[in-house]
Amino acid sequence: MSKKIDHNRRRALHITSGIMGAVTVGAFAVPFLSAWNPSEKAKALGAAVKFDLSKLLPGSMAVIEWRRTPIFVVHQTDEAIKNLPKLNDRVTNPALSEGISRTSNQKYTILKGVCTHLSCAPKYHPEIEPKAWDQEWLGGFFCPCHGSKFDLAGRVYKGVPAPTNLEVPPHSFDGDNLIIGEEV
Amino acid sequence: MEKAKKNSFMSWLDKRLPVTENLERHLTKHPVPKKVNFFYIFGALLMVIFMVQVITGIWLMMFYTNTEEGAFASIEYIMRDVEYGWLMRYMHSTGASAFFFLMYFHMFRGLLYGSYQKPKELVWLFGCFLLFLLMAEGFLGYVLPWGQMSYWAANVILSLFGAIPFIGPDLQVWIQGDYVLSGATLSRFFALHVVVVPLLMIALVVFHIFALHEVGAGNPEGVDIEKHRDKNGMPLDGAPFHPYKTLSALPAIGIFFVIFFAIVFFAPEGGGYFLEKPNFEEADFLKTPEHIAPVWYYAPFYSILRAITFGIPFLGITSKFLGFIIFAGSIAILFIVPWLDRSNVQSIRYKGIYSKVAMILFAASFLTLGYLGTKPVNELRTLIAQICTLFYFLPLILMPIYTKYEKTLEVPDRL
Amino acid sequence: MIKVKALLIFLFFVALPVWSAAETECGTLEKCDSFESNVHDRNSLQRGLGLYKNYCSSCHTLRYLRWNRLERDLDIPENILVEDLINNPQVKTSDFITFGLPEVSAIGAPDLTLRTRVRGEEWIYTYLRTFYEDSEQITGSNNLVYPGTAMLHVLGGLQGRQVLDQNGNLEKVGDGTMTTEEYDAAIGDLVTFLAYASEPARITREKNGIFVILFFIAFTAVMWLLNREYTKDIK
Repeated sequence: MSKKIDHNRRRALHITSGIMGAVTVGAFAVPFLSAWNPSEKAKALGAAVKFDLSKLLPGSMAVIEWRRTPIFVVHQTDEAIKNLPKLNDRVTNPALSEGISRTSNQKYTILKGVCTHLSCAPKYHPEIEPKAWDQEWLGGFFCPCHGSKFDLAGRVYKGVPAPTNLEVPPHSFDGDNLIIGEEV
Repeated sequence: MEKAKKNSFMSWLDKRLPVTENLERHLTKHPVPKKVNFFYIFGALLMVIFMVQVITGIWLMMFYTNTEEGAFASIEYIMRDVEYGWLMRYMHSTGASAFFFLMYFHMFRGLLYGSYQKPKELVWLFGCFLLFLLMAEGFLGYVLPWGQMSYWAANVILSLFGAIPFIGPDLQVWIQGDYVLSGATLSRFFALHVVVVPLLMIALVVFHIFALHEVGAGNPEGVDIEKHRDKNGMPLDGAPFHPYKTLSALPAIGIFFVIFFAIVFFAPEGGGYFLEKPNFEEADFLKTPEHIAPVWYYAPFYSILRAITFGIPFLGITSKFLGFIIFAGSIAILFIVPWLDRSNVQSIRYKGIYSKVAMILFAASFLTLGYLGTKPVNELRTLIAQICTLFYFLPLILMPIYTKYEKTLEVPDRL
Repeated sequence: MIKVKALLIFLFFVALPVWSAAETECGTLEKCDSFESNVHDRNSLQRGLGLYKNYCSSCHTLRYLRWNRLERDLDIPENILVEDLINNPQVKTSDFITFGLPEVSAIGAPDLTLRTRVRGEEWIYTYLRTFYEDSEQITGSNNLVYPGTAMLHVLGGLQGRQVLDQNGNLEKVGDGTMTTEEYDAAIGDLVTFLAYASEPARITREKNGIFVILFFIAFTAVMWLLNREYTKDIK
C-alpha cells in the first residue's frame, strides 16, 4: 500500500487486456456463429438442379422442385409471346425490359411457383378462353386462394391482391439443359 | 454529472433489486486470503470449463440426432458437414476430460488443506454431490455417440443395477426402457444429459459458492484470516475478491487454455484415452469389443469394481453385487470425510506424520487404480487392484483414529 | 511446503505410466510397424486416392465422405472428379463416396471412412504389407496382423508373392510390379488418404491450432502483467 501506483502503466495494461479480452470473446464467437451457416448437407440438398428442356413441348409447363419450392418452367408458344404486349395496360408493371420470359432465353419462362400475395401455389392456365375470373383471359397463372392473376410471363394484373410479379429464381442455360439455382 | 446520474439509477435499482449489496458481498468486499498456492486456482478453472461444456453442448445439441439409427451418423455430420462442428465436438470431448482432471485436483486440494472442516462441511458436501453428478453426466454423455464403446460400456454399467437383489432386473429394464440397451435408452439419456443433470449441477454450483462465501475461503496454512482485521473490518491477511482474486485467475485461465487447445488441435483423441478407438465404430449388439475399458476418469472406480472378485455367500451377496456396493462406497465415503477428520488443525502442513502417509497412500492408490482400470485384467493386476482398493479406503476409514491421536504442529496466527 | 512438493513429484512419477502405457499388440506381431501419416502432403493424398479408387473401391465404401470435399481438400479439378473418379451421371459431386454399394456389402467388407481411427494407422499400414500365401485359406492368402482375414490380397500384383518361412517370418518369393520400397511408400500413401478420409478437418485443425495457442500465450503474458500490477496494492 505504501508504494505509489503507476497510473499510466495501469491504464496501458487496462487497455491492452481489454482489447485482448474483446479479441478472445470475438474469436470464440466466430466458430459458434459460423456453425449456423448452411451445412454441407444443406448445401448438397440446396445445390443447383439440372433440367432437360428438349422434352418440354411448346405450351406445356414442368414443375421442378428446388430448395423445397416448386419452380415453374414454361415453354412459351409463339402465340403466347405475341399476346403478351396486349396485356401491357392490364398489368402493374408492363415494362418488358426484363424480357418476356425475363430470362436470357426468350422461349422459356422460369418462375417460382409461389404467389407473392400469401404464398399459395398459382395454377397454370395457358388456354386462351373466357374464364370465370376473366372474360378476356389470354393465358397465365391464377391463384385459387385469393384470386390473384398473373400473365404467362408472371407479371401481376392490376387490381388483384398480389402486389408484385412472380419471382424469377436464379438460373442459367447450358445447351439443352436448364440449371436452376446457379447464375452464370 | 454523469456520475450523479449513474448513482441515482443505481439507488433506484437498489431499492428494487439488491444489486450493489450483492456485488459488494460477493465481489468487491468479499475477503479472500492474500496468499494461497496454485492448488487454489482449480475452482475458477472449473467454472470456466463448466461454461465451455454448456456452450459447446448447446451447439452440439443443435446438430445431434438422438435416435438409434441417426446418432452415430450425426456425429460424423457434426465432424464433417457443420462449419467448425469438429471444433465444438473436440472442445466438448476434451472438456469432459479436463473437467474431471480439474475436479480431482480441486478435491485433492480439499483433502490436503482440510477444506471440508467445520464450518465448511456443506461446501464439501455440495462439492461431492457435484462430483457424483459430473460422473453421471459424463456417463450419460458417453453413450450419446452410439459407438461400440458407448454401447458396451453402458451395458456394463447398467448391468450393475441388475445385480441389486430382488429389484435389480426390473430396475435395469426400467432404466433402459427396453429389455436391452436400445434407442429408448439413448433418448432418455440424451434428455438427462442435456437438461436434468446440467440444471442440477448449476443449482449445486450456486449452493457451493453461496455456502463458501458464507464461511470464507481457506488457505494452505489453515489460518483463520477473520481473527485480525483492520479498522475497516477487512481481514489483514485478506484482500477483496474483486479485483485481486479475479485478476489472479486470468493468467491461470490463459495457461489452461494453452494446454486445452493444444490437446483440442493436436491430440484430440488423447492417445485413445479421451476418445477411444472402438468408439469410431457404430454400436453393434452382436460384436463385443475385445477389451472394454472405461474412459480414464472413471478408471479408478472401475478398477475398484473389478477388484471385487468375491462375494459373501452366507449373506447371499454375489461378487457382482459386492463389487457394486464397494464401488458405490468409494464415492459415498468422500461425502462423510468432514466427520471423519477429528484433527485440531486444517492443513496437512501442520498435521502429523500419519495424516501425511495416509494422504500419500490414498493418492498413490487412486492413481494406480486409475492405471489398472484402463488395462485388461490378469491375476497380478487384480491382486494389485485389491491391495490398492484397501489402501484407498483405509486412510479414510482410519481417519477418526489417527487424526485424533497424532501430534500436530502449532498453526501460526497470521498468513 | 517442501513436503507437499515432494508429494507432488512422487505422484507425478506414479502418474507417468498411465500416460506412457499404450497397447502395442498387433495381431500375431508384437508391434505394428511405425508409420505416421502426413495429411498435409497433397501429392501423397492424391496417390492414395488413386490406389483407393483402383483397388479398394469395388468393395469398400467411404460413406461419410463427400466427393466434392476431395475437390476442395485434395485439389482435384472438377472435370477429373466428374469424368475419371465418379464416372456416373447419376452421382452428384455432393454425394457420398459409395459407388452404389450397399451399406454392408454382401461379402461384409467394412466401410473405410473411419477405419484408421478404429484400428489405428499403424495397424492398417502393417496389415496391408503382411499378407502371405496360405493354401488352407479360401482366399489363398493369410495375414500376420489379422489371421484368417476374409480380404483378398488385391494388392498382391504390386507387392509380389510372400510366404512364411519356418521361423514364421515373411519371405518374398516373387516380384510384383513394385519394389518393396515402392510398395511400402504406396501403402503409406493409401493409409495417409484413409487417415484424411477419417477426419478431413484434421488438415485445418493442425494448420490453425498453432495460432490459437500462440494467442493464448500472449493472453497469459498480458494477464500476468495486469495481475502483477494489481498485486502490488496488497503486498
